[in-house]
Amino acid sequence: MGVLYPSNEWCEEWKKAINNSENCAEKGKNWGVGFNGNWVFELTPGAGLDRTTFLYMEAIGGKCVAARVIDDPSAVEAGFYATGSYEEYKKVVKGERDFIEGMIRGLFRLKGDMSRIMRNAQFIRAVADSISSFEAEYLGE
Amino acid sequence: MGSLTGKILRVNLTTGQLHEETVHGKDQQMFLGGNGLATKYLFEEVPKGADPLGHDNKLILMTGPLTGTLSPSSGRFSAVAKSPLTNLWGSSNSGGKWGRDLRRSGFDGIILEGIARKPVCLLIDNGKACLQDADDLWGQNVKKATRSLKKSFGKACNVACIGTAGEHLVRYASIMNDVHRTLGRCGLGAVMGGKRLKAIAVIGNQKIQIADEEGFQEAARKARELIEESLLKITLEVYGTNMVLDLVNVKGGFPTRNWQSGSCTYADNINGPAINDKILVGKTACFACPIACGRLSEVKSGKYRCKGEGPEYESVGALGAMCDVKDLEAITFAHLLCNEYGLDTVSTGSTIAFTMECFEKGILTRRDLDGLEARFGDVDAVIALIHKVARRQGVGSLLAEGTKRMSQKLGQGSEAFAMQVKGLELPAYDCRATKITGLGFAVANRGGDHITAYVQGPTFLDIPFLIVDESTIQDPAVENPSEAKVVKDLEDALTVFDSVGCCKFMGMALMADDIVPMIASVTGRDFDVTGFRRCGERIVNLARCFNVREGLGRSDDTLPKRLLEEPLKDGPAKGMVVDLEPLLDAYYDVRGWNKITGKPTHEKLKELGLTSLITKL
Repeated sequence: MGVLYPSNEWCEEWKKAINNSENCAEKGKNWGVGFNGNWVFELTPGAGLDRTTFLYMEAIGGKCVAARVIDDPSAVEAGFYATGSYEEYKKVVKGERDFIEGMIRGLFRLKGDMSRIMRNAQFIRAVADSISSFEAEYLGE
Repeated sequence: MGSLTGKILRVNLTTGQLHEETVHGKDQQMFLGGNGLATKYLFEEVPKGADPLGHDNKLILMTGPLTGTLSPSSGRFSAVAKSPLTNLWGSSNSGGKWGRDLRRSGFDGIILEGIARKPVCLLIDNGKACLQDADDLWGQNVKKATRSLKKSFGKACNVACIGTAGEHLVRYASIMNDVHRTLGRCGLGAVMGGKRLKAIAVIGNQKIQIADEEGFQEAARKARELIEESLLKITLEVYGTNMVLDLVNVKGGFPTRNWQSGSCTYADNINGPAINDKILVGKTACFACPIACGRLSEVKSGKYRCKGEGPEYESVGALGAMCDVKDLEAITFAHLLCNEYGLDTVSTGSTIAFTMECFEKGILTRRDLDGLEARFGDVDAVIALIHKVARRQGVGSLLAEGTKRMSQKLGQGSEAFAMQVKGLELPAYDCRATKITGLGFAVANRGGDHITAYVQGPTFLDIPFLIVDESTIQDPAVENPSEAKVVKDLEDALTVFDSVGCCKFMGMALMADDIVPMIASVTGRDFDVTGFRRCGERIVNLARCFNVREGLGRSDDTLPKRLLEEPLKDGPAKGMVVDLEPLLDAYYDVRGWNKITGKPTHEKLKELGLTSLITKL
């Protein structure tokens, strides 16, 4: 039985997964050092999600400090903002879509210092890969 | 200067004389190598008004100080001549391993002058060079000619050659090296064909000298690590250059049906993932490249059965969407056919697309087209026209002139949709969707070109170039004159890559502080970031001066009428055109050029150490 995506429980599992990942620790050692490495993920409605939902993730030095569902993205300070449909985010969580592939297909729009993304892309991938280490359930399914 | 041998091979094809000469240290300091040093020779030795296909033009192939070293992705070399397509500065750059092998053969570059009485090939073998009769090679296409030369001179020899297109002086014929790598743009293959030079075969196994070996190893190691960790590694390597297709298409900038539309509905059929799923059988890399963006593709059966390197994004754009061809296998076949003939796929596809629109509008008829009905989407017409162009057969002889000359001949309003700047056909990025890229097209020294500045990176791809201090474009849909500086800075930085022999993709992930130590340690010269930027600016101005001397002015820094006056009818950039003039004014300001004439000012030339050019313009 998995945790519902998206939810605070899911965010908590994701935080654990990142912090248990040696790959994240190694690839992310410079992440957030000297810059804001926090993320807001905006999930737009559809495929079972009936309203826009925001997930917030604080990351620094290869570790996740906090992750939770938030109501208002303006209430947090994030250096990176990734917008995509719930349908596409679901595919990433299920392991059916690579997040980087989604970026280059224009399915996820990123805002933030892209030079940090350029230099730390392996960490971004490691964080996305960590999702597959735990089970999830999905709205609309 | 360490690393560069300092030796140039000068070949007089008229007399058959070959001799070595030494590059002046000051020229190496000022222009480094590659297209910088080659342009310096071109400016000094090719007179104003020279016929690009005549005796007075010179074809100069030049490596850079990093070529063939272990600097990441440093197998590249440049070729420069007066272009038969634009009648202006023609420059092209290629990867693979031929550049490395030229360096290892003992020469930094080759200057080819005059015209041979009959076809010849040039053989360079570890410092020794000679011209050989090539009557039996003339008429062979790229693979066969390469095989023949390897059979004659050994498998170790690496070949740069022209195919049928260069022999027939097609104005956008390319020079092919390593079979599938290309000095694609500007018609330098026609220059080589006009000189009756079929091929240059190099054999080289000499060590490339490096001034500070330890310093270089450390700098190269750091640079390699940065590339391995970067976004380039997990995008370009996985998807090849077609990774950009979706990003361009979703912004409405993927030229379709000869730029009548900015987006296609079949991107999923022809993008990077589609290549991976349907035809990819391997990946290829240039020398010392940690990324391996090259695709090895195979269509195993059917009428488009083929195998070879590619197709790259530009081929998919030009031979695909511009001609409204949706079939990836057919596009791949057309791309490999161009490679075999030695044709620039961008100009070929664009010229065929132009032809299709002329047919659509009744400007060209079935009779004009030797019985072909060149409709958009007709793959058979694309392939038939490629054969005709390469051999200048029938209507192929008209298409072989390129869209600018075609439209001048055909008239009837066709000039408005000849998608070229200064005669060079535009690549697959519609600047009506990202306005600043229109400035990049309009001002590039070699004509309608994207990789002079590649401001498409920060706009279409949202990927910055770390090689410049600032490459952010605030809103690509708006003309922001202050962003002309981004175009200028990218041009200056990326031209240094062409001068040192390094791939421009590295400029996305490396900062100037990462590449400068490699250049300094290889050459043994003092070289810093300021020098890096100044050198690039100098080379851009030198090439501009060549063009100014040929009569170029502000009016040539423009865009096709379609991009200036015809709004996109659909897609995310619907309703957009480019308002170029404010961008151009701003660009001339940051360049220090006269706004009325487009000429570099005397002050700017003095500042760059180019005082000797002032009296020659």
